[in-house]
Amino acid sequence: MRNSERYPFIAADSALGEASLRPYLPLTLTYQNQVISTAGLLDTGAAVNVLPFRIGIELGAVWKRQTTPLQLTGNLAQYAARLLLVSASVGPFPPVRLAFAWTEAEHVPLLLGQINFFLEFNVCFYRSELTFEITPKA
Amino acid sequence: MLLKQVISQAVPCALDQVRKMSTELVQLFPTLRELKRAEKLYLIQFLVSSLAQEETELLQAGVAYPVWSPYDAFDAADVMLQALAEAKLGDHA
Repeated sequence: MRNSERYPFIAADSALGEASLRPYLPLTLTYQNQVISTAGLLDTGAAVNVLPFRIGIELGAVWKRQTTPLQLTGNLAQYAARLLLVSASVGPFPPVRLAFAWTEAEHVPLLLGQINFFLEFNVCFYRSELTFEITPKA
Repeated sequence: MLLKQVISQAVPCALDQVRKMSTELVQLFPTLRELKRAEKLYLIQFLVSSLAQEETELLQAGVAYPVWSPYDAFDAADVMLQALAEAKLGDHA
């Protein structure tokens, strides 16, 4: 198995082109046998992973059953958030457990932050080449 | 010497893009070759400042750019770390 994978930056808005290129990582989330493919924004400034409400619902999670509240900050502070543990697969690498702050906010991207995505994977950004490289932790 | 190094690094990437560009640019090359050394240096300076100007225009005045990052949500991060540790213990139980 390769120990690193490269991915391209993706245009979040095709009309804006260069200005909207973001490091979105394709990944598969699994929660209680429900599997969805999605993409997460690599956000080194985010303290935590954030799961938009809609994706949690698609995974079959039930809001009322998630009993651990989390207080987010910034634009997300106004929305309630609850802890959700999810299995995530990236490329050919073995699945890892990711903790998400599942927010009631709808229009937020899935954020991959310091806790705990960046504890599980090392990431090298090559912004000028419009790629980034992912390596699982040793 | 430094200029040569910069050009040698920049040209291979730029060439790929230039190939996709219009013939108008290609038609400029003969004219550019005829320029005097000082004029070529001035042209480089002009292009560099032009590119820098375009970079600043990536952000437009009066437009809202939402920042979703919970960049200092340390309490939430602490709770999540504890939950992960407990889940790991559960794996080994």
